[in-house]
Amino acid sequence: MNSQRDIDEDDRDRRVLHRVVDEAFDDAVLRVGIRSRTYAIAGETLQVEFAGDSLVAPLTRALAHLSTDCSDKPTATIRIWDSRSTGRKLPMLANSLLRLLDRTWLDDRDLRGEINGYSDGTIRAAYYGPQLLALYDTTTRSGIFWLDDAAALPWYEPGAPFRVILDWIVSSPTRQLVHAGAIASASGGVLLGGAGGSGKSTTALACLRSGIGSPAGTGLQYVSDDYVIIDRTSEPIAWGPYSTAKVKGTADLERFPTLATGITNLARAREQTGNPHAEKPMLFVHEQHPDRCVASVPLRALVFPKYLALDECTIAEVPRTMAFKMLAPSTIQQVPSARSQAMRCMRSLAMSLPSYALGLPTDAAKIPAAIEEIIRRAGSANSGERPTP
Amino acid sequence: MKHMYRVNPANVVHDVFEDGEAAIIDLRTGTYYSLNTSGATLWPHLVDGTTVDALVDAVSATGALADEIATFVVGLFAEGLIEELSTDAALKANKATVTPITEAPTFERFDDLQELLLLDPIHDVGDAGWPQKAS
Repeated sequence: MNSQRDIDEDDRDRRVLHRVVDEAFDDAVLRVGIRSRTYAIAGETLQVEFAGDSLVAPLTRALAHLSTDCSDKPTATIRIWDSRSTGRKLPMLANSLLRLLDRTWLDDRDLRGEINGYSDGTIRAAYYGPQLLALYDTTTRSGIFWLDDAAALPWYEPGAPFRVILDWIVSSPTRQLVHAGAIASASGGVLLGGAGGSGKSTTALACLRSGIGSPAGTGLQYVSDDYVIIDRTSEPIAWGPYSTAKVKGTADLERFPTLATGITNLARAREQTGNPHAEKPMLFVHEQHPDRCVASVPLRALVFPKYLALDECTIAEVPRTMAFKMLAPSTIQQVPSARSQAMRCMRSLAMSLPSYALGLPTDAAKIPAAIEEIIRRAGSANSGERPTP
Repeated sequence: MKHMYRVNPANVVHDVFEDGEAAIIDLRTGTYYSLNTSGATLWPHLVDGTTVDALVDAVSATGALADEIATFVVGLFAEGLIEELSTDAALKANKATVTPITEAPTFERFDDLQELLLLDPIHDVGDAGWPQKAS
């Protein structure tokens, strides 16, 4: 059992790591200048500071729909830099730690990159991807995102920029970044849960396409296809931190030809066809269809899509305890800090809303009507009425 | 069994909720494990280093359910959810205060919940609960 004195000393040691990397960011800024952006995310005013230009474009496109010029004092900050373009090496202490982690791998971190000894306390740390370090000070609410070379940014990071730090910022007993999508309508929205490849993106894209051309505020609108922040502070809300939409290979491109023109990495994705770890084609919905993209929606139901190659969509009610079992695993696998608190937050959400399994048909154009039907049924379930067939 | 166990935090995330349900998720596979009430009662003590013998003593003065508790622990170990503590640590005597259990502790694993949807996609779940795989 560690004494309070041990814990305080450990915390002081951990702060040194955050401080030296933070000071190195200041050095980098002296060399190449600073670029600042401000975003309104899930009730937070997030200031993102870049050393130089190298990472500004790739790490801000997905957040553009949340950009704000408000002069409110930031509630959290993230400082972003790379060594190659700024000429500032990672401090020796941090560099030695990463070299050690490269050798010891899972002896000193978990499968999600969280470094042992940094999962609680005031400083959080994760080392994931090739040469990518994320740090966060819970007392000052300041994050640092470092990588060795901006040109080697992993392909998936622009789709969900600094999501590890974002989770550290928002996570609380009532807020959590989860691996799920969300769709909005005028009468509330649905969370799209389930493992990767189950059909979340297809469902989200089908609903997005159905709404194109509708007057603003009508029809189905896009929130997210992969990550949302759930907020149980009062009425359940899903916030979409990223306007990214991922397309699953050429089949989805044929299924959604109207969306294909906005894909940002189509050539590279096509070059890697057949590679199981290939880039997924991505588009930023806010750039293509700003009127179809909303930042948040009050939730009415959880939906778990599954592609079944059916002629028509099928809808089946899911027991609430089972909904939690379907929602939690992929979030726990993908979000480094997600542990007991995250499970409790997700379980609270799953127990508070009706859940439905959605069998997906071959014709994706039939999906939006099923989502609208689920929202209608959920409205009846939430009000205690018996839904009309 | 005098072995002591712990969870490997690099591989496993777990919790026991207020209503007594216990959830364990294996980070390597994404597999969800659900414990019954007896299992959820024993789990926090087991992963806190209480030996199986001490657990049996704590939950029953007569040694009832000893075989079932051993089977439960062996099963969790076989799934890679718990790992044995070192001999030095295991030499520490321990005595647990555990709520008595009357049913055998068990766990259920959910490998592919989406697969269950394939069994009966137009099934409306009623009082009987979720569709079960035919054995």
